[in-house]
Amino acid sequence: MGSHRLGGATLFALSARQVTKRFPGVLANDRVDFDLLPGEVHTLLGENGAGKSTLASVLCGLYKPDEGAVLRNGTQVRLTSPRHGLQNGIAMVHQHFRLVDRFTVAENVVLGHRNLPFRLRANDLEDQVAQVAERFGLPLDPRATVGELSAGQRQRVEIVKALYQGAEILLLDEPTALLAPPEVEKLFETVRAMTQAGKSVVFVSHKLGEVVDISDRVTVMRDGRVTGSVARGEADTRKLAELMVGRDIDLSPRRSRAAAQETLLQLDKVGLTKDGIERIANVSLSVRAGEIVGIAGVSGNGQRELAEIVAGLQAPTSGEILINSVRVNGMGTRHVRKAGLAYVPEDRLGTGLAPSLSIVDNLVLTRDRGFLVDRKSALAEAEAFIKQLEIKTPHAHTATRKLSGGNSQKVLLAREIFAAGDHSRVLVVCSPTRGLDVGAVEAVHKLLDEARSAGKAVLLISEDLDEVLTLADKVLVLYRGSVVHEVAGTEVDVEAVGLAMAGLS
Amino acid sequence: MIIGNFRIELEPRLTSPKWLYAAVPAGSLVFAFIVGGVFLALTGHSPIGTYSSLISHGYTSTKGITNTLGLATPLICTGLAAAFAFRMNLFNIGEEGQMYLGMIGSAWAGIALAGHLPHVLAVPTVLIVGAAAGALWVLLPAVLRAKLGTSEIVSTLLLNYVALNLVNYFIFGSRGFFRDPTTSFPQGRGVEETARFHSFGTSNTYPTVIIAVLLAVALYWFMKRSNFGYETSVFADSPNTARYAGMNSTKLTLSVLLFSGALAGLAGAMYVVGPAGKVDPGLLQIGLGYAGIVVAALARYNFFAVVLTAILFAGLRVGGASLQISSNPVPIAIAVVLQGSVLLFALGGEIFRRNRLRIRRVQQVSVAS
Amino acid sequence: MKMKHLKGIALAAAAVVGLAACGGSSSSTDTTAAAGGDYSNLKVAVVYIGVPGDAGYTYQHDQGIAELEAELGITVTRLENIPEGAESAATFDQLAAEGYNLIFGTSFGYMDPMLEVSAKYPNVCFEHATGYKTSTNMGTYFGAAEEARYLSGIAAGAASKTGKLGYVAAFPIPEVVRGLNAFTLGARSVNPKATVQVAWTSTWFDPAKEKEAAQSLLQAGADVLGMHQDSTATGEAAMEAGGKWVGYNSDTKAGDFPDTWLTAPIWDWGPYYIKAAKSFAAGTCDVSQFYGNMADGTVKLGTFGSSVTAETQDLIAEKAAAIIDGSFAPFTGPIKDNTGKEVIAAGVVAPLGDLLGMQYLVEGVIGEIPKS
Repeated sequence: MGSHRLGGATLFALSARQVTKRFPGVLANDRVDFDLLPGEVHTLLGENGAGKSTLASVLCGLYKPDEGAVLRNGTQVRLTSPRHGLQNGIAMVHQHFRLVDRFTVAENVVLGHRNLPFRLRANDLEDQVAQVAERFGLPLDPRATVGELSAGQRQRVEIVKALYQGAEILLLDEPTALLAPPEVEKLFETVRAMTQAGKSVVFVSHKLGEVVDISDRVTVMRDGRVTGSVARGEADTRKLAELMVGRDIDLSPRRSRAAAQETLLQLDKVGLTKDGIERIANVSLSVRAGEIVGIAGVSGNGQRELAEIVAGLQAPTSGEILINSVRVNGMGTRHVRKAGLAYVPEDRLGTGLAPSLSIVDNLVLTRDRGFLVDRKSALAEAEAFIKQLEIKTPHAHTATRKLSGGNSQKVLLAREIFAAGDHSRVLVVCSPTRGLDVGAVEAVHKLLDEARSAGKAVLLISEDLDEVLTLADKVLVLYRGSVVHEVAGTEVDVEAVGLAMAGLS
Repeated sequence: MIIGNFRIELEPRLTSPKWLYAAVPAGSLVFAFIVGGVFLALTGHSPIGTYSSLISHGYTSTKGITNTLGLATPLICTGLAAAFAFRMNLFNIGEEGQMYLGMIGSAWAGIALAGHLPHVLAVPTVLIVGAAAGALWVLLPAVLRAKLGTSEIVSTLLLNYVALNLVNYFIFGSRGFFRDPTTSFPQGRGVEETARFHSFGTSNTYPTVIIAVLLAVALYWFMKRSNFGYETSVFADSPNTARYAGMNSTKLTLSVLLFSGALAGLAGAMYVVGPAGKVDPGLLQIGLGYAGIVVAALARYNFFAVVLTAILFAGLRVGGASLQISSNPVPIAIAVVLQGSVLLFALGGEIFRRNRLRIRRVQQVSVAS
Repeated sequence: MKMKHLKGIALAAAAVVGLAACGGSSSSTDTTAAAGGDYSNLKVAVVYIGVPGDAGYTYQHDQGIAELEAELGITVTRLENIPEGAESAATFDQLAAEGYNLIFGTSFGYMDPMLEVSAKYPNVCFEHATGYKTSTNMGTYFGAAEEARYLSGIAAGAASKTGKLGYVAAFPIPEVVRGLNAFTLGARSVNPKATVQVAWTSTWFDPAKEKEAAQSLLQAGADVLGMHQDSTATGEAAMEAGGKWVGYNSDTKAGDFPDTWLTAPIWDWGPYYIKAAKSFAAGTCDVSQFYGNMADGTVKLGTFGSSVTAETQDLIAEKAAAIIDGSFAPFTGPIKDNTGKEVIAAGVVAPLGDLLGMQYLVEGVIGEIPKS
């Protein structure tokens, strides 16, 4: 760990001193201290809601601290906006990208840049962008339209944008959330290239495993406070986990040993071609009762399309889909549901649930409703779920958007797995733990395990490889719309799966 | 904003306490009257005298409240129309034109059909035909929106001008069905007497006001309890969720817009069975359709609040115009300023319902290194 | 909202049976006001569609009301910007309920609301401008603008070099048609080959639209414009294009158009307002259909612009005198319509009833009106 000492005092590239930030009803940061050395990779670790994103937002100028100070190279700076932060060389790459879908990569990168020439030459800009990308090992086509890029590629655009605008310090908020192992490795290479160029990186993450590899130092937060700071070499996964959640965590795989039962979901040579592009190619798979089939893959390789085809939201252009041996392709989501399918989409709050509607009304969503809506039985059901699944909410009439990610996911899963009068035996689940904290991940995995035990056929589509490996009885890898790897859960070779995800098998 | 050592900030509220929903509009109203009062005093009018006159002429005197209710009747309908569409995030700006069509349609029914029907059937028929005509006028924008996603804001607005010219054409530009054949003056042809309501006593309030209020109650119940209301609330909140649940967005969009148009058409029909009794270009000057949008926005798209707001709004107009009846008349321009400030503050007050005002001392942080 | 500013239609009295002759006979009704000379019991209100600041229709009425106030030493309550339709019934009702016993309404669209309210207040006298419905306590007032229109047409015809005139008109209704025809007859009396192209705007007040219509006429070759609208947009278009124009309602804006202004048919309502108020004060609500004219001073020709020659002014003065003494009427046969059909036989003076329902365009007008 390199440190720059001047007159006996360490000169930090960026520091937080006793930063306190309140939101109505929440103390998001409570007298937080944080120091970042030049050329250092420093991870901020913590569960969701621990306050790490808030701290990062304070450091980049998005939030103003209620109390305390931000220091840049030892001098206090009062950052008034992210733009002001950028003028001080500080940039943040958010978990939710802030890009214009219709613009090209190059256009997005230069967007908002102050010192642009009056007349823009597309070629020059594209060359410049390509150069920056090249230098830090970020393969990108500057002419590609952002709307067509995968999450990983968009992230690269964000990083290149920050670098192009002269960032010396990059704050990356959950940067690996959307990436496959090879992409994560590539990101790490980029990070190393950046630190070698003298830049500093703050990694905001809740993933224990990976942070140990990359970080020079890990600062752990819980409930708005710093619970510890550990340098490379001292970092040990178990210790970090304890600092993070304050209790032991079971990270061992759950896999059923149930005997094979009848096939409930079958896809036979399913394909989808849209706008002349083949999104799904010749996918065949089957899921049996009491089994979880996991589909791994890097974001943007056809997962969403595959899920939507099975759920009846899109019609396949070729092949057959059978639910309980009934052919359902192209029948529409209501019929598919009637045929016995439940579906937990990746976007739980904007698709699976209506965010402003209450828990009760969200349980009504998939019911047969008639002319008048029966909310009485839905209320009873909601109250039962709240109790059984320990859903933290003031009451059953609370809007789902006011719940934490884990609690809203519990509502969604409860509806799709246990809802009264639901005779579905097939469950399609997409990225069910994305963005959830460790405790909620555990709860969700337990629910999926229960669904399997209850004899449901579960198709788990997730970009989180660990999740697939933890839960699935059979693992398939989706790459560019095709299944390129298939292996039983007990015989998984992680390296082979990783290569398949990267298209190298 | 920083003043001296203090920083003034607006901070979003995560939840708004229930009492704020009532306190904010009430507070806005008081504030608007204070500002208007200063304005009145500066222009040489007694604020207290003016307000008591406004309130008496607009609300508390028998004459005032009945005049107000008469004007509020179609306004409730256009307000409901705007609120109904907005519940599904659809912006029907065409209430004005749909109301004209409602007037034309109901006048047609009142002339052509009502003569063959007894009074108990004639009035409902005329109202229904008017509502249907209003719905028909929004059909094209509704189809364009539902099928092609074309903005209904522009298309409904443009059709207002077409409707306006249509009324002008029927009355001033041609000598067809809707023109009174007994005179060369540009007058509408009167509907059959059976197609009209009598006003209550000698007032300017018609039984249609009861229909309008009942309609608001029925709509409230319907949207709260019915599957249709449920589906529109899901769709308004999250179109993706509606799609996920297999709801037919085309059908929903069409139904909501057509129903909204029917409500606006009903406003025009109520004008015919009530005070007008014919296609009356006077309706073009009152702007009840546009006012309905304002009413709906002030009422925050709550149907009950639409009724109250429409009455408040109509009273401001009736009372405001009456302020000119005085030995020291308040010019109509000042009455309009008063109305405007009430609206402005009522809308502006929303900020304080959604946000909390915080004033804090700016802290100086000493840095030790 | 611009609809609020739409002015009421200024219309002639009706072609209805039982129409009282010009000047107005009166039938009596309840007496509530005091005898002549004492006006303390008179409580007068006037309801305007627009504002006196319009320098046009409402302005001229307000001038008349001011004359009434000066003559009788009373104060009249003015209500401005009262739209037609339902709201106006409430306004008239309110006025009557507050003890106003003589109420003037200046816009055509007030007709049915006034009639309805008049039935509720038999002791209140209602006077309605431009309408045709009367009752035991409601009369009407308007006038023969066509007389001055004819004279203004002479000025226009004489000023035109091309012989092509234009006319910006609101709606093809009898009042407007009558004015257009009188204007055309006047123009052709000095310039027999002159034509008048008409452009309908379908609005009483919309300066942008009026200007656009005027510009299209100028582009089509017209060098002098007449108009029947509420704004002076026609004059602005004419001034920009170097053409001449004839105004309407009022001549207070003549000075704004130094070289292009010719003249304008204008109203003087003062004499009527004074007459009606005095009649009511003496115990009689004038429920006649008053139709003023140049002879009684209700209709006048406005001030001349510098480009009207002395010779033309003399000719106009001569014709005006003939109109006032009754020896000449603009609509005297033979008159053909613009399809060549004779509509008024030679030597015949069209009766007022025919004029009020006029539904044809005279020879020389280029344009169409809807058939009945």
